[in-house]
Parts: sequence; structure tokens; C-alpha cells
Amino acid sequence: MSIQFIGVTKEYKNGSNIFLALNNISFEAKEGEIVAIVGPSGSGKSTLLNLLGGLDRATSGEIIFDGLNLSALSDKELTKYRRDKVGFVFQFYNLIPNLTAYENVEVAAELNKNSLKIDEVLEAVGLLDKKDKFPQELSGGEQQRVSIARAIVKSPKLLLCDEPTGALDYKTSKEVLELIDKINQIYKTTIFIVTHNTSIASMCHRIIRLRSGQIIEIKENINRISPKEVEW
Amino acid sequence: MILNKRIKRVITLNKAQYIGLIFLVALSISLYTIFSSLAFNFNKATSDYSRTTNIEDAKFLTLKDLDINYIENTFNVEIEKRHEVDVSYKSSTIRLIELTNKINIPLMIEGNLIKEGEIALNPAYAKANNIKIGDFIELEGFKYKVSGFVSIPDYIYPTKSLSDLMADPTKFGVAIITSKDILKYNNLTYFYSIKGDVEKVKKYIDENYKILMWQDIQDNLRYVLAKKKIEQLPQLSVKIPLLFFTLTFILLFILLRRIIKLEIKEIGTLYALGYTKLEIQKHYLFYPLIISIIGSILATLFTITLQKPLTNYYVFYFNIPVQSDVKYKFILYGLLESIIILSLASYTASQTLLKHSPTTLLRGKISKDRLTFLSGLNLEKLKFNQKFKIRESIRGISKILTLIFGIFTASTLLLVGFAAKGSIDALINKTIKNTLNYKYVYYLNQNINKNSINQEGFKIAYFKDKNSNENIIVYGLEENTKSLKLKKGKEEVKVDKIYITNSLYEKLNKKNNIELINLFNNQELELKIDDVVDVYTGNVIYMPLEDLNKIINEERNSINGIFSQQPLNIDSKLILKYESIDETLKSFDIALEPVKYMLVAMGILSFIIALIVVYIVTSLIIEENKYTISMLKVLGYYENEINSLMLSFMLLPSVLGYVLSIPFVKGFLNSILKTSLKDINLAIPIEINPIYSLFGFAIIYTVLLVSKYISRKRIFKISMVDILKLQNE
Repeated sequence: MSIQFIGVTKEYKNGSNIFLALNNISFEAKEGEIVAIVGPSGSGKSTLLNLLGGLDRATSGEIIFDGLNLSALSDKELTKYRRDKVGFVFQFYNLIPNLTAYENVEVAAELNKNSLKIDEVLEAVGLLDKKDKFPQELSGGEQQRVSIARAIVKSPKLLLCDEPTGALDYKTSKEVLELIDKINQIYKTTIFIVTHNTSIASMCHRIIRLRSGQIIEIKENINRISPKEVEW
Repeated sequence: MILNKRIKRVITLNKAQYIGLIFLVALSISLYTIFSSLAFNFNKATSDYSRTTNIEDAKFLTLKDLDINYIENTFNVEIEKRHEVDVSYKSSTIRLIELTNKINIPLMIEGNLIKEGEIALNPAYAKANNIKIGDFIELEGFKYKVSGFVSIPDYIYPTKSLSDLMADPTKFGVAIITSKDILKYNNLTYFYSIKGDVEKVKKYIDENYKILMWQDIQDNLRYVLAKKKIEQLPQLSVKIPLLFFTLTFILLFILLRRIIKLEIKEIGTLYALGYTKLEIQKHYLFYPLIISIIGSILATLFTITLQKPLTNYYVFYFNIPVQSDVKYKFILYGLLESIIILSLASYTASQTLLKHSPTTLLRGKISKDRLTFLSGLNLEKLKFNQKFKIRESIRGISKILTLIFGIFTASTLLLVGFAAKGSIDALINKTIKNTLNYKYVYYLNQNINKNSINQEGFKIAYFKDKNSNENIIVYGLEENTKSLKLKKGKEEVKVDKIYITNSLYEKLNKKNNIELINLFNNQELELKIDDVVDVYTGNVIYMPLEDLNKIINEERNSINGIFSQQPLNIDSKLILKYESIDETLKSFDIALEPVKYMLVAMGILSFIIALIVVYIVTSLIIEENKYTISMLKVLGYYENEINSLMLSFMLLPSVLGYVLSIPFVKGFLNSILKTSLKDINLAIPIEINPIYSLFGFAIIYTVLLVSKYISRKRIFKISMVDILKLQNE
């Protein structure tokens, strides 16, 4: 299984103005890799992630994942794709405020018959003892752990993380990165991390650098370091 | 102010919500205006009617012919002799009445006053028998041209006999013809009508001419019943729209507050840009103003369209000429109330928001999601979707209350209609079907011995209450009567004591001793009432036959009425009147036919209102939960699954709103009907048939389903990407 972007363009129209968020980009990533998408604000990182996650559609080009051409899928098929194959982790966690930590994970577990046991996943992220707490009773780091638990509980093949440490302090950020790395090792999940923090890229297998909607560099990271060693 | 340019855009963007609000305003103002104008027009019509028709103070018959001129001059009264005759037309009876010009002057509702060879009929009879102006009809050998439709003051409610409860226009009508025409008939009867100080002259007439019959106008049910109905029913029909008007505006207040509160970020932006609180509040006052003005314009259109047909419907029922003018002052009141209430909603909503700093408002949330004591509920054992719905309900108590109130308002309107139908059904069932166990009843014009027939006999005697002057009928019955089933609750009672009907009890408000005057011989007597029975029509007392005979000094076994299961072969000279239960039921059916149309109209109206309310509430729920819905989409939930998760919680509050409206409607109707109906010898038991209740809820449930279906589109429109971008702490 691999992930392929072939000549993908994404335009946003605003009246008569057309904004090119991604301009004819192509790349390939392998199964089980952690891929870093880096670049300055407005370079198209989040757009790329949204297209890969089936949240949005490319204007042209093909996105192939696990044999599926995402561009050719109907809305319903795209929903099924997200439901079965993709997990999301966001910068601001996006937990549902009136559900407990356990229920926030359950909201994703419900979608897949082969979901992992919620208690086990919460234990894996170190939050089993806080499973009955509501998001507002948890710290930022704890909320992000719940968000990760929610993303992985349905054992997705693809985990997409949009600035997962963007709202966290240094220490908590490193704990979250270690967790992501652990998931990659245990479940062999392919992970894409969008970040403007270039240091995080050093723990990834592959680094894609974007600027103004175009790829300026694709690098295989042969000197990958562990999350513990990442410094910024 | 440049800012005001966005008003149109905001309204266009949320057009469904604003159209809903405008329609609610329009419906409630137009209903209020239509019925208030109707009441105003009817009040004017009744006072004009009494004045222009110069209605009699009494009607009488004497043994010798009166010297009218002498009496008029001596006693300063007006007297007029009037002939009447009953003729057959097809299978019905028309009572031809001589055209008078002093007292009881007929009033044309439509067409022209009669000339010789012409006839004018009461409109309900003409309609029921398909007779139109310009038609020719032949009555017992004489041909007449129909010149118009008329209202005869002492026959406003045209019942054939004075004791009839309901008019049956298919069987009986009244008409006027000229004196010359009426004198062509044989078998004429006549009465004298008198207007003026009757007490002084009555004694003189009795002494000199011997009064055979005397009926004060207050005892003429054809006039009294109609007058009271006319005076009270429009008032009654104002109270229901007024209730609806009040409920709707409370609801509008709640809904507009929520809609304005959704503008939190925009208000925050304006505040941050340097707009003052006053400028922002002024801007948001335009919304209620626009809703009120457009709503009132629509209300005016609805009113103009509906006022005339509705007035005609009432005129047909009550048989007096009424203008169908719209009283625009009521629309103005509605507009003012709408502006005041909605502006207050907008002002308080923006005021609440503007207490906070611009930075707080820009975050899109005034406070972090608060945990309530209910958040700690242990829901572990429930399925996920049940947990989600419960959590959603706990979080939005205020939206649940809004929904409960919205459904309560729509259900109230719906159930008022159902209660009216149910109560009338109950009245018919309890009073006629369950009480009267005979098929035919014969009233005799003389006493016979009960043992001379092999049917069940009874005695009927006519009295009036000394204090209230109410006419009261007393029945003397066999102790084990099989023809009347008198019940108290579920228990059937024997006629071994003296019972009073529920309607008479409610009117006199006592069941102890009643002082009666015998209408036949003016003898006074006092009756001790033992109990009340569940009969809801008529001023009636039931007592043992022998006891009644004893107090009126008649032979103990004498009777003047017969109950029977089949038609009897009795000498027609003996029969004063005969009634068949099937015909009585049929006349109820005819009289209640319009109620069915009213029910359908109310059903449609409450469906529309419920749909508007539920749609606005659901769209607010979707708007307020955009973020959660977006997140569920990201996770891979299908739209119908999201729809079910987000909106299914509405069922329970809707059930609650509906259930709460049942006792409210019963209480409301009981309170208004008690005052309105007691004068017309009815005490309607307020009942909502369980089948109607279920049907009513089926309507509300359909509204929920339709609203959920429409909401799918809104859910579909929520973008996953945009919402995630907007999301920040």
C-alpha cells in the first residue's frame, strides 16, 4: 500500500479571484511511514492534509490511497473512507465538550465493528484514570491525548495530525510526539504530521517541504531520531 | 449607517428562520384582528338590530279581540297583531309570518323587502333547501318569488318548537309574506306583540280580554338563545386567538433572542472596531422592526382575504346582518405589540452579549461549557447514541424549554379544536345516546291514567325559578324508569329522589332548595333537591311521578307524556308534540357540521405553526452545534446518523410539550365555557377523546419528521474544513 499524489491542484474561488492552494503537486509515501509536511503559513500544508483525509476534493489530479482514487469517490464513499481508514488529530483537539473522555473516544469507536477496546486505548495514552472527566476538566496535553485515542480507536490505516503540538508546551509536546511514534510502531499506522516546527520533521521517515502551494523538497530522512531527542 | 446594509444580507442568509418568524407574526396578528373585528362588528350589529327591529317585550293571546288603539293611547305602549301559519314545502315546514311595520320589524340580510306575491326566507333554511333569490316557490297552492333573505327578530334562532335545543334548517324555516298574502290561508294563528311598560297593561288586558297565553321576551328561547350566543360566541372566539397571540409572542421573544445571540462574533467585531453599545443595539433593533412590519403587511392581506368569508359563516349561523369590515386598529395594536416584544428580545439579547469584552465575544462563546449537576449522571450502561442524546439534552436545557414551549403552543391550538369536537361528542353521547333509552316521545295535551297504556308514561310540568326567572322543566318519572338512564359518575340512579341536571346546577349554582313558580297557575312551591345527575343539557329536574303529581295537585297515576320504542298509534287530537331521537341526533349533526370544517382549519394552522416553530428550533440547534456536527462528519458519520444523533432528542420534549397542553386546554376551555355556555342551557363536559389525542400527537410527530427531513439539507451544507479552520480556543 502506498499513498500517491499525482498532479494535484486545489483552487479556491472567491468571486472572480482564484486562489491556488496547491499547484500541481505529486509525491508518493510508503505504508507505515511517518511523513512530515512542513512549510510556512499559507503554503498549503493543511489543504494537502484535508484532501488526503477526504475532507475536501482536489480541483484536478489524482490522490490514490490503498488502491482507492479519492478524486473519483462519491460523497457517501468519501464518508465511508474517512469512517474506515482515517483518524484525525487537530491542533485544538476538537473534542465534543459535553461528552466525557471515554465518550469522546466512543464517538469514533461506534463507527467501526473492529474498533479497539476503548479502555485499552485510553490506557495506552495514559488517561484511563481520567476517562470520566469532561474536556474542560483536562489539561491541553490530556485533551490532545484523548484526541489521539479517538483517532486510533478504530485502528485506521492512516493517521493525519494537523499541528498536533501547536497548542502545547514543550514538555507536553514531546509526550504527544512520543505517543504518535509509539502508535506508528505498534499499529504500523501511516502517519502524516503537518507542522511549521521543522524540528519535529527530524523524527519522521519522509519530509515534504511546501511553499506557496508547491513542493520545493521531498527528502527521505535516513538520520531519523527518536521523539525524545527532538529539540527546538 | 453603512452597517445597516448587512441587514438584508443577514436576513437573506438565514431566510428560512426569518420567514418563519414573519409568518408567526402574520398568523397571530391576523387571527387576533379577524376575531376582534368580528366581535366588534357583531356587538355593533346586535345593538343596531335591537334598535331597528323594535323587538317586542312580550307576546300574548287573548280570548277576545283587543281594542288596540284604545290600549295604545291609554297605556302608552305599542301593540301589533301578527298572523302566522305553518305550511309544508317538500319534506319540511315553513312558518309563514305576516310582515309587520311597528314591532318585530324583519331585517333584510340580502335582497329586497317583499312586495305582494313575494317571500323572504331565513338564509339557513334557504341554503339547506337550495332556494336562491329570484326562485319561485309554491306553498300550498300559492306561488311566491323569493325576494331575499331575512332575519325575524323573535325567530333569530329559528327552532320549530320553543323547547327545541337545536335549529334544523333542513326541516324548518321561517319566512315573511305580506298581510294580503297571508290572509289567503286557512288555519291562521295570531299573536299580539307588545312593546312598552307591559306590567301595568298586562293586568288590564287580562281583566278585560282574558289572557290565554303570555310570553315575555326573556322566555322566548328563539331570541334569548340567539342573543346570548351572539353576545358570547364572538367573545369566546376572541379569547382563543388572544391566547394564541400571547403564546406566539412569548415564543417569538425566545426565538429572536437566540437568533440575535448567534451573531456573537459579528457583535464582537463591531464592538472591537469601536462601535458604541448604543450603535450596535440600534442596528439590531432593525431586525424586529422589519419582522414586525412585513408580518403586519402579510397579516393585513390574510385578514382582508379571510374576514368576509368568516363573517358570512357566523352570519349564516346566527342569522343577523353583520358588516364584514376589517378594524385596522387591531392590526395596529398587533404591530405595536410585535415591535415592542421583538425589540425587547433583540435589546436584551444584544445587551447580554455587550456586557462582555470584545475579545470574549470574538471567541464566539461567552463562557466555557459549564458542567451542571446533571453532567455527572452515570450513563455507562447505555448505548452510545442514547448517551449522546442525553448529554445533548442536558447541555441545552434552554433549547429544550424553547422546544417544549413551541410544541405546547401549537398543540394548544390543535387541542382546542379537538376538545371542542370531543366535548360535543361527549355531550351528545352522555346526554342523548347514553341517557335517552327510548326512540320516540309523545307529549299529550291532556292527562291520561298511566295504567291505560302499555308503555312507560311520564308527567312534564313547566315552572320558573322564582329568583333567577329561569324556565325549568320538571319530569315526573317511574322509580325504575327504563326510558331514561340517569347516571351519577358510572353509577345509574333510581328516580326515588329529586335530581337536577348538571347544566341547571351550574347555572343556579345550588342544589339545595329551589323556589319554583308553576307557569300554569302561578302557584309557588319549594323543592328540595337531593343530587345532581350527569345530564349536560336543559334546565331540568327529575323526580318520582307520584311526588310531582302530588305537588301540582293532580291525580297520582296521571301522565301527560309517553316514551316508546316504536311509533304509537294514538289519536292525533291527543298529541301536542312528538319527537324522534334519530331526528334529534340528526339535527345535532347538521348543527355541528361547521365544527368539522373549523377543526380541519385549526389542524392545518397548528401544523403550519408547529412546523415553523420546530424548524426554527432545529435550525438553531444545528447552528449552535455546527462544530460538533462538523466533527462528526470528519469522523465519518453519515448525514442520517448525524441527523438522528443531533435531532432525535427532540421527541421527548415534544411529547412533554404536547402532554402539558392537554390539562392546560381543558382548564382554559372549562374556564371560558363555564361563563359562556351556562346561559344557553348547556354545560359542556370538556373532554379530549384519547383517539383525538393520539391523532393530535401524530400531527406533531409528523411535524418533527418533516422538520428533520428539511434539516438534512442544513446539515449537508455544514463544511468540515471551514468549521475546523474557525475552531480555536
